[in-house]
Amino acid sequence: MGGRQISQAWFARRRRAKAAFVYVFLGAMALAVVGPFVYAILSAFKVNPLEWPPSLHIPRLWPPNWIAAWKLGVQAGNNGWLGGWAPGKFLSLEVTFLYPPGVEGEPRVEVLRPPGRGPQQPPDPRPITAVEIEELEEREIPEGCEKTFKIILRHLGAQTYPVLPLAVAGPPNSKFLRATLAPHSVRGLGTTAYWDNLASGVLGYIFSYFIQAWTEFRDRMGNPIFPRWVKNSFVIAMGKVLVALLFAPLAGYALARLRFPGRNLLFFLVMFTMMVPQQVTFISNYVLLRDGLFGISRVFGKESLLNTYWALFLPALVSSLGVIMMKQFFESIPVELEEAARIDGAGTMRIYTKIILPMAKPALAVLAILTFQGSWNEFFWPLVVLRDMEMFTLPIGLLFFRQYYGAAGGANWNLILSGTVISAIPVLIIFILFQRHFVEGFRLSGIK
Amino acid sequence: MSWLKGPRRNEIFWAFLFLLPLFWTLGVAFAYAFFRALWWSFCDYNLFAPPEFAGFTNYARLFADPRFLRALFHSLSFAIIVTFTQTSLALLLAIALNQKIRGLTFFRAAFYTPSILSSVIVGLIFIWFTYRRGVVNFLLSVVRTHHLHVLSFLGLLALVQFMLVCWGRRRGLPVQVLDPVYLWVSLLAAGLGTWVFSHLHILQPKPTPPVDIIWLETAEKFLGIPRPLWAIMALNIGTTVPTMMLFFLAGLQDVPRELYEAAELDGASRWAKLWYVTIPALRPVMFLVITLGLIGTLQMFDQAAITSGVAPLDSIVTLAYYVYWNMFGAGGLPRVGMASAAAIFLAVLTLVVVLIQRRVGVREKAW
Amino acid sequence: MKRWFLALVCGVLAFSALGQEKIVIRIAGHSVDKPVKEALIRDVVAPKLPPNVEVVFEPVVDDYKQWLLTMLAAGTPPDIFYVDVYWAEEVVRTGRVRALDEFLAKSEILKKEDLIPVLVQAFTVDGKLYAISKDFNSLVVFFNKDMFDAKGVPYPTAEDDWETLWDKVRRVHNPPEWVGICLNPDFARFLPFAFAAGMPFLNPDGTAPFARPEAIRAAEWFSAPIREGFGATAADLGVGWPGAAFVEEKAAVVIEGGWLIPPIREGAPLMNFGTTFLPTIDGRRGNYLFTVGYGMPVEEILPSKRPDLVWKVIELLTSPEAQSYILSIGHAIPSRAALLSHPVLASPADPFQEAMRTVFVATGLPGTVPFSFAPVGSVYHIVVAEALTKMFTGELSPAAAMQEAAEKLNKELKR
Repeated sequence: MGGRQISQAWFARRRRAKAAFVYVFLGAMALAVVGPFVYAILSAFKVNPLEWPPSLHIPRLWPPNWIAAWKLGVQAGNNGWLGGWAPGKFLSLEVTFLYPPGVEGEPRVEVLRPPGRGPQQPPDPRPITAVEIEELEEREIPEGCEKTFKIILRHLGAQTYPVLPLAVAGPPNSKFLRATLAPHSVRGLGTTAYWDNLASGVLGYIFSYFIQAWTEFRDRMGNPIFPRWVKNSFVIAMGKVLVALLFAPLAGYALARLRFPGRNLLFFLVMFTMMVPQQVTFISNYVLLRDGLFGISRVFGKESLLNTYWALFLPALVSSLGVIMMKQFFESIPVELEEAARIDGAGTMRIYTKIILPMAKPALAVLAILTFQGSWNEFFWPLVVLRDMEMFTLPIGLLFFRQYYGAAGGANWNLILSGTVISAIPVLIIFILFQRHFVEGFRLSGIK
Repeated sequence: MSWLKGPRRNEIFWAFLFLLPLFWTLGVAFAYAFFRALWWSFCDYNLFAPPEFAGFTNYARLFADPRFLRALFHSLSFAIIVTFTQTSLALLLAIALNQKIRGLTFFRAAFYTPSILSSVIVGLIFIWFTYRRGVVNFLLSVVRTHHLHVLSFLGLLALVQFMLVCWGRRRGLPVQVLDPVYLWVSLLAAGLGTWVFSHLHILQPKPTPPVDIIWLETAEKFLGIPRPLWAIMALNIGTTVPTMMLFFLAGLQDVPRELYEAAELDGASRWAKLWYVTIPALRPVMFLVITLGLIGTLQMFDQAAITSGVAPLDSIVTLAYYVYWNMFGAGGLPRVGMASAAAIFLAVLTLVVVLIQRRVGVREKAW
Repeated sequence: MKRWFLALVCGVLAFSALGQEKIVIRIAGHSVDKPVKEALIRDVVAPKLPPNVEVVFEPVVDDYKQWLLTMLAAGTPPDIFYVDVYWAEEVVRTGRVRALDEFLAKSEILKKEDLIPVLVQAFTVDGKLYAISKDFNSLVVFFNKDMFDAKGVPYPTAEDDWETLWDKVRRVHNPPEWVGICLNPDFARFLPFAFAAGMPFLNPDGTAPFARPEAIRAAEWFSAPIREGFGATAADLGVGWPGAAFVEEKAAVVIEGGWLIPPIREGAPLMNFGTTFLPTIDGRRGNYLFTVGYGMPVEEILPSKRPDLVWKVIELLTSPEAQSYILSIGHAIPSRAALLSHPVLASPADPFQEAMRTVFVATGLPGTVPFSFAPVGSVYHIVVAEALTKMFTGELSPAAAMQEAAEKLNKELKR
């Protein structure tokens, strides 16, 4: 190695190059973490998320189809957004088939009975829909003849129908090429194109699987169950937040500032609970609820508290994590403030409500957010206590979705993914808005 | 509220009042529950008939049950492998990327995404990804089809980098093997070269049958551990490492510069600085992370429950799931005695593992 | 795997005006059928209900059989519950299911002769009938007519035997667009063929029959498509079950039951398909009967305390009107023999109704046995399933795999 003068610039270049690698690597990592979720969201719009090879070719997210769905929605029901097959309207759809030499005949057009898995079969538009077909043009190409047809559907009835499914089948050996609106599947060895709803309007078209996941399961009254799950999750999460905001600071303050015998033991116990798995305590708590909480619930006419909102709030009112977090926070408040207040003659309650709580707003915000997120995503305890489909929270409901839609007989992963996306939205929104607080909370939960 | 009976008495009264909800939770939902579970672990109980004392039968039955032993093996191996891998990986990455990073908020947001979503959501997407005809196998198939491209890229990369490093060293520059500037150049050269080769059809994608690895719906084992469990381990590690890395990064940047400067004055090399300054400084953080990691992984339940419909039970059963399964899954009446015994065992095991870690593994104090 | 499109609860006609206190009759069934059930209650049952009697359908989310056993043991069962022929005997042997013969004898609406005989046999244990079959399913051959036309192969028919059917499948096999047949190593598909070939359920001396030449012959025939390459399993085709392969036009032929009809209707309503009976061997045919019935618990643990009322509900659930309703929405095949003259079954108007008719008639053919493994239990089919899997992957030859299955079962039986 000679004694060359190495310029600062040389080192600077190295530093910049290394920094570039760091950013690229972090970016790749971010992509690897977020990528699957983004792909899952996109796949919720696919007809078959289990297609092979997986592709990004998604008709429902293709703008020309949006325009087509809008136009058809307007034709069918005056409403480009939500569509609907309304009385007195007519729809026109262009389809193009390839006719190899020797193949003749017009395509067969059939309005289909709307598929219904749910108890409420959508009304059947077949009786009131008249079908006409005329050939528009022909184009000779080397493989044969491309024929474009115009199909006109007329509504002859008096009611509006939400679903207008259609099938167009070319003669044997013909091939469906394209149409105004992309069909959702092509079968019959390429001859038959199916649309599950021509009158869906843009929103109905794009979000059809979301709508289906939202409305398909219904209870005895005919009300959809998925929204019920959302409501359950929400009510319980908000309830837990209120309870946490009420009780955790109390306990945290008591542990931080008030002196009483056994204080350290109590704190140690709280810490200890975090190490003991839920599996140890859940059996007793389950039995407790089943027996109506020492029989107290019988006073109110209920034999057992299983399967109720109560089951999710009780028996654990205060989360150990919340208490510890609040204690940490309160310990960081200067003691002088309280001492000053005491000298002025304020009682504990006064100090708590007038001085401590207002100062705790940032920590309370973190507590609220963490509690909301924890409750929204809680899995084990609801799995144990909730038996009735109407009382499910979203995680349990999603599990049920997978069992129902993912079973070998019906691999409807687009519905499962739609349900998943809907479940993720609230927490994602809160996360994006309050990211800081989340991170704060994770940090605090890690520090003893 | 001016009923004062001496300030100390007053304070205790308020403490008591404030702590009532906590007493309820700790007393009923925890202590009472804990001791009841302990009692039931020594009983025969099926939730309908009253419990009958049975001594240590349940514990004996546990150890005679192959499923329990399998669950134990799974939980232990899961805990050790996942905790060790994720901690070391996160640490290595944090050390490698240790520098001031701008736009950390954005990266943090991305990395935290799996943590804030429900385990069911992450689990369902995981199941979908690992289907036989799923995304994972697809990506592997693409790599396999293009393995010649990959090999040529790596080969060119190594070659060009080697040449550049030699050239730099001969000119007397203190060039490291992985010199960043040269590395960028090598990457570009390798990319260009591979593109040219493929354009000239020297390299062709080899059509091979698609990769068909069954990740979840199988009972096959690799190194004694079922493949579905490996897949779940990969999921856990993959979703934890990014955030843990950021955590370590923050810790690294808290290490006082003076320590490094002092070490340099003593003539420490990069590796010595790492070993004698960085790692010891991070020890308290690592201790925390490892302890929490062990506790969490030993008690893994969610992923087992979510994949239980897809993967065979005996391939993914963990101790926590074993407890649940004895209560609600096995069919017939709940086996409360067995479930409680297994749960108590799990609690004790957690404690033991944490204590062992404290003694033998990463210590709590920095130096 | 199996799907029963179970009939929904009908209303209760309160013949006795025993007080106007609210009587709730609870029916428990599979949660996956909840949507369909709720519709049926609303459309067919609700109009007939007197105000003081309410019928509630309570879906069971978890494993139904486990739940039922738990409830019976705990003494808190529902008034009416589904009984699947597969585990009927196990549940009946708890001693907590009520025999229904006395009700049948006294009933004006429902008589034993009204029901298809093999369905009665399915739920008879020790000479007593414990459940009234509400619907059933059995296996038929589904084939895609367009694919057969494209390859110029004649359609499978009822006259086909093992050789001719496989020959047709070989000829219609058209990789890579579609395979001749999609076949899983499924014991529920294989065993009817083994029985048809002459294999008994157990040897006369009580040992496993799998090593018999008939059984091996059936195994070699059944695994031929996979071993010789003119068929594929569902997983190979990237789908969850052979039915999906059929709907997605990846296979020309599948052997499935009536539960395939709704998925076809949903996924490809204009599919040009046909159905026919399973092929014969030496003139004999085999088939499995899958059925679910309504049962009720013994009087001591009957929650509503009104066995007569509960029986009435069962009668109405299996009444011609209810079954006619189910038939017309195409969800299940009813159990009353007389329904064969229902227009849907007598003169089918489309491939779907034809398929239902085929299934209906196939069930009544000789050689159909209920899908039950009592008294041996699930170990019987577990060893068969393992043997089939090994045959299909090529790990063992059919003969060796069946031999191994026989040995495994014998070991279990000796315990």
